[in-house]
Amino acid sequence: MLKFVGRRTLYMVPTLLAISVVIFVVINLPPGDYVTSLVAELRGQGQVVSMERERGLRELYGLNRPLWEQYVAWVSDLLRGDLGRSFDLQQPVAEVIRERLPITVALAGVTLLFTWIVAFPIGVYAAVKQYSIGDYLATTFGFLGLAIPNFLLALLLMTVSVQYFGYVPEGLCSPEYCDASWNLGKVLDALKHWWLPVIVIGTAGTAGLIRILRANLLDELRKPYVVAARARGVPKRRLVARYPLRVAMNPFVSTVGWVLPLLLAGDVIVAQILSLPTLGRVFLTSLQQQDMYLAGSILMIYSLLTVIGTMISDLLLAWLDPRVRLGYQ
Amino acid sequence: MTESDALLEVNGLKTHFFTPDGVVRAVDGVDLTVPRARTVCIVGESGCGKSITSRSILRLIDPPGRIVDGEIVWRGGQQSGRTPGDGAAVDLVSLDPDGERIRRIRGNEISMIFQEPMASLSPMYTVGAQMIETIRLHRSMSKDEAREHATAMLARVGIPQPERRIDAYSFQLSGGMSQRVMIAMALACQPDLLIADEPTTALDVTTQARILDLIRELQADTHMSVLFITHDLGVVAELADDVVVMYLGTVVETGSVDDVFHDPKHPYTRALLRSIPTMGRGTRERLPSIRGMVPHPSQRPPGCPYHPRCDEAIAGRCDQEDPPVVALGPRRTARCVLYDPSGGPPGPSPASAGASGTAEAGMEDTP
Repeated sequence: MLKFVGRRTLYMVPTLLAISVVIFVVINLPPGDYVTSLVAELRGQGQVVSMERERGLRELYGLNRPLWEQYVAWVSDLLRGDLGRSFDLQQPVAEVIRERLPITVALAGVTLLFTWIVAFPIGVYAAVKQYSIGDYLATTFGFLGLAIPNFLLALLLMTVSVQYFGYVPEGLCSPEYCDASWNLGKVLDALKHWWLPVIVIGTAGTAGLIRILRANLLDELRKPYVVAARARGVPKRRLVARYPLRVAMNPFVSTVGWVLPLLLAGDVIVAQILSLPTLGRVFLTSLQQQDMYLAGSILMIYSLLTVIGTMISDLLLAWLDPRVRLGYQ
Repeated sequence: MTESDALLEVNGLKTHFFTPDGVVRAVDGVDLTVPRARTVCIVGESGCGKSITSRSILRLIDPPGRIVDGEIVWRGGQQSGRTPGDGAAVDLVSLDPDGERIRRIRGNEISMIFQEPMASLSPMYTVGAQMIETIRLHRSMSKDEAREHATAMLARVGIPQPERRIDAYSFQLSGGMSQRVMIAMALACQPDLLIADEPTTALDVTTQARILDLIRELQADTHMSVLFITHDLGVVAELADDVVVMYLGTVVETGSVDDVFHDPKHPYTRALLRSIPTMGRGTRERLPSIRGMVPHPSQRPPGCPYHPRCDEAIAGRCDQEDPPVVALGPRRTARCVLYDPSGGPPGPSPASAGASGTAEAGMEDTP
């Protein structure tokens, strides 16, 4: 077990290195750099920026060096724990991320929980009562959930909120509670603000998970061991819960790995609309501004979380399924 | 045989499947009797309804399938005195398939083993966990007692190192071992009847022989009855006391194994027996086969279901009227107009017809 974890942790190193190369290259793919967009912005404000000044800025930020040199500098700084400085925010990247990462991860975590809690009973119901009205409803909801773009859903729910609840659920807390310590008022306030982003970000994942659970459970329900267990007199409820459901649970666990990046990506657009204090918004701006160290670091953090999430889900899977644990197939 | 000797009696059982493409009459009027402490083999080609018959007995038919007619009279439960005062017969068809009564019968009074032993065990639990669960469902035993009993059963069915194997998962066992586990589990509660649905089909020949030996031996020890479903006439010859030959959802012939093998009456039984390869028969000769194919149960021909493939079919009769079930002696029946005492046009005599085994085109169907 310990050996397994150790080996997986070792594998993470080359994986992350490879990811860092890809990230760096992709971020540098668009023409121009931060200075280009900065100069364009200054000129847009009517300032005169000489070619000299532009070159000076480039030298200042180290953007005139060859790409590989910039990469090596970035990665070696990363390894020393220095994430660099954000050009745009004039602030160390680490600081920017530290401010926003906890709330981002919390939002992703709550959304994941929401996804599970909603998808699980619906998925099981849809499989056990296949072709019932409930199953068709779940299917309809599933396809709608997958098909409606997040931003549209966000706008829709905001309208609903304003129309019927009389408030705009912007951000994740009301100003008077944001810095308050936790009390009942703050909890209620949090509920008032969190439901919307959680639903918006979680709907697509929920819908997907319902479909997966339903399909898996339907497969398992037809397996001979289910009939065999029934022929031994196992009561129906217990039969479904103990036998096929155990196997059909696997996707729940294995989704941890890939749902996480999905949630974080969903956050990018939704955070914009709902003005959430999460990393998503900063990330989008940093990409627009070609603020490469900030964008790169955020991407690296996402990747790290994904790689760790994948490992956790593999460990859970091994714990849950003896076939995985004992190396069958 | 007296009436009370019948442990299980199936009368006029009809199990149909209501599919969008029409009604599939998978089992269409099956009568059979399983006497106490005897082995009855149901034999027939794929799709003849033998598995559905066995599953109907335990009420394991899922929608769109439904038992539409008939009765399944069960007189078990007395042998071990588990249901004192409840020696009365119960019609299994009248029970709620999800109800408590049938659940108490499953795995307790009637056990079943299946064709794919490895797939019949859940891969998520050890075989011990599944055995202990079954035992504790039907017996008030503590976990430790149940585990002890399970280990003893594993030893009884010839599994080496049962104390170790009890903690194995199904995917760590071979097919033969898995089937032994299934048998141990099936017999853990001393059932009156063991239904074996092609339990050796997925196993290789040596393993198959050992499993058959095991079943025979266990039956001699426990005096349970066995309803054995197979398409393998060799297995029938080895195991059966009585034989039930099925074709397309109906029983075409019943009788003791000696009667059926040495004096087959129904043209289908005769054709089946002719198509067994035997050692020493001319190696250059073509193995006789039954011409044509088993039609899909939804395209059942009118009249006798076998008439399109029958060499002795009487035009105007076999293709129109349902053949009568003719009693030829005690526990000996054939469902064929050739033996209809009420007359009708005299067909070719059964004896002469037996020799007309020609190898026709279409040799798909070996039994």
